[in-house]
Amino acid sequence: MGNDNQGKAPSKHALTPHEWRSSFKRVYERDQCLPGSVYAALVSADKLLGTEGSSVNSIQDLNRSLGYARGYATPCNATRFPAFQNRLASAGLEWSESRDPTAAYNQLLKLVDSDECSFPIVGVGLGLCGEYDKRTKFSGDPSDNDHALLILAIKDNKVHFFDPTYLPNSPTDEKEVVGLATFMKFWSEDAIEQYYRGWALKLTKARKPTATIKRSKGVRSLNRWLPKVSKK
Amino acid sequence: MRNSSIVELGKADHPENRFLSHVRESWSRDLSLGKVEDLDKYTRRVSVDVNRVAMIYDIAASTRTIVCSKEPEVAKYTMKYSLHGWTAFGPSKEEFFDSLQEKRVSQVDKSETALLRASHSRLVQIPTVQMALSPLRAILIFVDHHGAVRTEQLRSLGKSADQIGRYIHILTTLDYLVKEDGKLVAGPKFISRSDKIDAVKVYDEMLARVAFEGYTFLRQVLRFSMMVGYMRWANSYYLTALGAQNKITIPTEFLESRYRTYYGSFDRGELNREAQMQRVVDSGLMIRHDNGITGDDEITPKYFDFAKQLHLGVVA
Repeated sequence: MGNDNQGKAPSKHALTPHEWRSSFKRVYERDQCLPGSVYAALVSADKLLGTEGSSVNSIQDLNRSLGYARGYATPCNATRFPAFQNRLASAGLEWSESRDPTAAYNQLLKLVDSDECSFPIVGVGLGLCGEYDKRTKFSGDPSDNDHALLILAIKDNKVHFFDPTYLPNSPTDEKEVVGLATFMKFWSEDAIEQYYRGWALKLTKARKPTATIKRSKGVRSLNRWLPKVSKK
Repeated sequence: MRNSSIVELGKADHPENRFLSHVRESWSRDLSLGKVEDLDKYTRRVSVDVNRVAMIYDIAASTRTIVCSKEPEVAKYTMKYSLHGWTAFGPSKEEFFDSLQEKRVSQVDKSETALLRASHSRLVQIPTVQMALSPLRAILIFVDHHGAVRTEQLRSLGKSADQIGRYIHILTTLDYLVKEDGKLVAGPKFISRSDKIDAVKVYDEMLARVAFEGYTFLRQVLRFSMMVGYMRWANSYYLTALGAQNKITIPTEFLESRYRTYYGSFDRGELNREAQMQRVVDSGLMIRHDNGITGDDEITPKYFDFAKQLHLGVVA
């Protein structure tokens, strides 16, 4: 694992998508998808870049700094909020985004492969949840809502991702994968906010760190519900 | 709602789209545009809708239900054109979210009513609730045995005059007792023991009606706060299950998260929270299953029926 491999530079490829997912936290509510994805991005940044984003920020801190109102998703401009930027800066991180609809795929490939940044966060149509998890039933039309995910790998025309709101039902559950064409549809066509079509956000090491901010004790994550291999 | 928000939108053919971008960017991306009306050439009115989403896991069935619904016309904004372009007037962000919160509170209250209807006979069997209702039970038993009770006799309950006055008020309001020559005697709704064999059931039935019909009174005037805790935890489960339209099993953390959404944070600490949740489980209003929480077989369908009668929607 990243920093644990002595002498070796930390790398995204050092772990499988499944292994990466097991180091992230699952959240309770759909509207926490952005704070949940940002937290996972922080975890990945910490392992790859040696920063401390996930140890100085709880999901509750991220909820607050991203303007999360219980019951309603974060605003589109959430990552631009000064409170969030200050939290990142205090952990030695900064964010940047790419949104070039014509070259979005190539950009995303670079971000997924680069060990100089976190895994990228993207916005997709909420309907994607029904594509990768057949246990998901929809009541009502999901096309008016979007959803944030963390992209972990793109290989063999498949996109491997982490959905913080998904609760796997077995230790070997690797459902968080969709075909590339399906992903592209939900990423570049079905994202509700035009701004998010082909949008990706990454975290990189900040050029100048600022004063530290304290971590709050957050709500417990859903991780204890994840199936454990050793007990079976 | 006061028109306290002013948003400058500049010159545009479709200022409503600019306004929508503004609220989605800085308020929540779950907002969408509702009805757009041209009041005249220089004035438009738009309504803002909310797309609510609830993601409900059933850990027993390993399924999840994503419930998407629209809350239409949460707020209306008037856009006026002047030399500088369009300006939108209407409720501020705080007022907008307050209005949503009011709607949520009203739905949560409605759900409590449905749950009370479905579970009041069970609720009065919970020991702590029985203890809280014991003065009322004592009055009913005394009237049943002796035909009447003088108000001064009620002092032996060891309660203040105000408190005793409130007991009398609730029992006379529900027609269990009537005042007659300075005494309290059985009213038209009083169920006499002679009508039924099991005395305990008789009193339970009357107290169940007290709990159901007088819940707000008990909660707010008599301050029977222990009932509130039971109702809130149970309601957090049943209102969530209503979204899935099924008796589901949810993780305890998810129940807690739902509680926070419906009622705000639990301010009595982690130990009290666990203890209160356990007491609700012990009461049988909710059941522990597969390390999660599920509903009671009898209460669940009744609650769904009452919720339907009250036109209760999903509360995200």
